[in-house]
Amino acid sequence: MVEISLRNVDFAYAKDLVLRSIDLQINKGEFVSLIGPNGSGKTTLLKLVAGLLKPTRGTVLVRGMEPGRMRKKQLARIVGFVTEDLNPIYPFQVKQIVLTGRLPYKNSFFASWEELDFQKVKEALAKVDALEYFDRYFSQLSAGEKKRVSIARILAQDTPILLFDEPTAHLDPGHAVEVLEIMKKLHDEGRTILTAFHEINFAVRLSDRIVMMKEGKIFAEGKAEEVLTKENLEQVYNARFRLVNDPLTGLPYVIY
Amino acid sequence: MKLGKWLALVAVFAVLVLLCLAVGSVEMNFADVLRALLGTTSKHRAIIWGLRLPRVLMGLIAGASLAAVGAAFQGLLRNPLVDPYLLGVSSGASFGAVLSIYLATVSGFQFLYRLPTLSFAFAMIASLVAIVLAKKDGTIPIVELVLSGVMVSVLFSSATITLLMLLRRNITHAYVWLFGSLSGVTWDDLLSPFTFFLIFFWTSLGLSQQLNAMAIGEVQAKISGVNTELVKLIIYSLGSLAAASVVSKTGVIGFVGLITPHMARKLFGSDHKVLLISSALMGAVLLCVCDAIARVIVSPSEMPIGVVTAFVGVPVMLVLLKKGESHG
Repeated sequence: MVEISLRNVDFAYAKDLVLRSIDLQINKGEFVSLIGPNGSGKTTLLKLVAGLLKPTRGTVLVRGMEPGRMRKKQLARIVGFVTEDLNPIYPFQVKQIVLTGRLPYKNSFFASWEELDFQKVKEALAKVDALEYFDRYFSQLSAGEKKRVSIARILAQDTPILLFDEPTAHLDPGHAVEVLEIMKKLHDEGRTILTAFHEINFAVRLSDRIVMMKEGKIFAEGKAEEVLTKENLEQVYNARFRLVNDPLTGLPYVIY
Repeated sequence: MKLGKWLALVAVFAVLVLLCLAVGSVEMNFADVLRALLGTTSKHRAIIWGLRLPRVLMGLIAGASLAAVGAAFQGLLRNPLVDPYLLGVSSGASFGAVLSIYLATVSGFQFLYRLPTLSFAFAMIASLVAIVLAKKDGTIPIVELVLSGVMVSVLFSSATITLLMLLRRNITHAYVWLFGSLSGVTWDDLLSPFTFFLIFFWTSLGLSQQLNAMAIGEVQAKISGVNTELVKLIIYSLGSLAAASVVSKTGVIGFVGLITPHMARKLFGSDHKVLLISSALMGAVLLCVCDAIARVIVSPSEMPIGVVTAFVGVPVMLVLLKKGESHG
């Protein structure tokens, strides 16, 4: 069953075309990674699916509906988006931040939290191993802890589709691996995942399919071993790479 | 701990209101004030009911209104330097006020002296122009809004200065208004600031969870299904209405709307449901006390209240800043 579909999609900021003729279908329960250099259009593509942007041409469909035309709360119950930065300037507690993920299920006026909301918040925090931060102030957490809390905020939103924008950016290897494990767990639960990755080997490790982008177009798409060839990598990134096979998985491992 | 802070705030509130009523050229103690408020035979009844109570109530309403609007605007824009006059309300109101003084002076027709009406009208015109100028593809982007607010403010301020140059002789009255004052407030003046405060306060409390989400991040709020543009439009419009209705009666009172939300955030945290209530209470108390000080410090004349709010507010804020994050 197709869950996300982009047909012949262009997107331009003012007159600057950043996505061209994108065709992409993502099935229910699939884990798809977007890779490509900075400015290749990965984040823009995610924003189109999340309904934060509207395509200049073509159609974006989520479960057969256009995100831009859906009721905002309805969309928020289907698509969750872990963005790159969550950086509140005022002192908020972790629970207050994660509770905002429950807004799609609340009245727009005089929304009040019930026992169920707190339960969902606790479950979400437990899933990312961050329950102990419940009462802590967000600003006091480390980068890795903040990332886990921002994932928990979206998990409290309880959506079948999850989008991630560079989920391991600015994290040390230990914290990055924690995030990858959380993503794997979420995929194993049957959620559809579309994520942008800078670290190519992370994409290989988790994805059913890799979409390689260059200058707003899909350059190559398919299983890791099909997409990650030396020629493709060098053309897309304009750099030299070495490719070996991971002795444990047999999958390609990119050295750069 | 939190309950204790709230009880303390309410107790301080009650005592300070009584104190504000007691202060003035005719000396009274708390017992006199209470007798005048509750009894029918007190000799101070006329002073309390006719002069001091409307003035104190205006101080409470104006302080509560400016502080609550400041809190909501700061959250919405994720900018701690924002105040209720963000959209040009104060400069629009100032222009309207000085224009009214100018028209009445130049023409000699006193019926042209419609200060509160004109200042309210121009305050609303200024904020409307700021919102319209900032609008882009059906959204109100933050940077554009701040910039258009600054532009509108500069424009109206320049126009006000031009009028003041033209006024020359009759300038004192205009200056008193420009620096803000609660003197001469009557019961009739209270109605519109109170009504617009209630509308704004009730609505912003209703949207407090959305305000929280937006204070955390506008994109994050959108992802969680918040209609961010609608929330912005409602809060900006009702907030500017509330601020304009205050300014049109009291003149431009600075500082309360900027600094009180920070004090409230330090003491009670950033959750807007709590923040709006605590800001309103603290703003009310702060302005009321500052007005009492403004009345007595250079008696028999009066200090501009904006000057007093700064002298009182800055040390309090500095102490809170030094104390670090002690909220919660």
